[in-house]
Amino acid sequence: MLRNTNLAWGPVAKWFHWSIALLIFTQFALGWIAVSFRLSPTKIQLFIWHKSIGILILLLVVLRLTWRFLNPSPALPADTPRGERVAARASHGLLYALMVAMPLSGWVINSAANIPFRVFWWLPLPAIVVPDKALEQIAKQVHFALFVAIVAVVVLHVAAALRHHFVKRNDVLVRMWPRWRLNRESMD
Amino acid sequence: MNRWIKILLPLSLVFVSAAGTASAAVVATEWRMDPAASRLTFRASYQGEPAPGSFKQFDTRLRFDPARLKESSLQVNVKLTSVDMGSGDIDEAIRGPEWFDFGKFTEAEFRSTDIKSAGSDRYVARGTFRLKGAQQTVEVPFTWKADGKSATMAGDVTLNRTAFGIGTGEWATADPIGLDVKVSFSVRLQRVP
Repeated sequence: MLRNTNLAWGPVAKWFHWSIALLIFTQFALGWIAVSFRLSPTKIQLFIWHKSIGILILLLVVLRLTWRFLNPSPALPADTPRGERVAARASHGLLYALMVAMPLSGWVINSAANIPFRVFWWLPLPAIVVPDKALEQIAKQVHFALFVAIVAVVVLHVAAALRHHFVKRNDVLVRMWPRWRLNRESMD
Repeated sequence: MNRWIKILLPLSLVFVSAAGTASAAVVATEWRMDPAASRLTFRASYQGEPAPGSFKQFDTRLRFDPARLKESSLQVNVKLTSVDMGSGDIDEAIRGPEWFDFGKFTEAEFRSTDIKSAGSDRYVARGTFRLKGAQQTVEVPFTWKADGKSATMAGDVTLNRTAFGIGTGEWATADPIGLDVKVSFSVRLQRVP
């Protein structure tokens, strides 16, 4: 069963969640190191990895959203207060928006800076804006602001998941856990 | 005495007239570059993708006559600091000592030693190219199309940037910035009256 149900996330949704999560944390590290590295071939290679993974995330997020709309999402526990439901919905929406906006703003930087780029040394990436020094600077600031925002929302996301698990003691965290299956829980 | 004058005078006249013919032959047609209609571009590569650029300021001094190649000569001076690669980041990076080193070198020069024919309308200018303190013998093939008082010479030559120390140290490898740089030119010239 690849699909989600009203009670559990299917393996496809879990794979999207964890692979994108891993890639996002990789991007935090790569982006930070690449920006602070002295100008050298290594810096360029770090940026090529950062840009390539960013485009990969963009592709995965588009596929993930498509999958999400074609599947039911497991319901929150019945006792979840209305305010928390709204907060959960809003923060997840924001996370998705940021996951799309982050690579797009990076793409704008690269295009505005007029730097040639092949995704994973393979696919030439077309420019989405014309070369523009001023736009490049704005896009860099936007990219950084989005980084701060995504860090804040990820912290909130992880804190909320831990609260579900350790404080509210429901299955919201474990049902996204890679190896957890509904039948295994019912066997316990 | 008179006899000597009789011999020397015609002899000297022969020399003078010979020198006159020689000096006329030494000067092949002189051409002046029309900067607005002339282009000096190059194509480097970045991660295997073309990274084009151009030099906005350069000058071509040409004496050229297809019938007088021995007397023809080509000299090109390039204002390196007029480089434009269409990217503020790249233009900034190539100023540094590892690349063009504008602090020390602001001009490159090609000076021909000989120009040979290479078929109809095709020629090869062989000469010395000086760039960033290095000098190399370079053969520059070009086509020549003259129409009355104006002419166009165009061609390209591929240079290995490491031969001139463009990209030193850890940059002296083909990844991510390729070693070969294709330099292309299209120069519009007016005959000097």
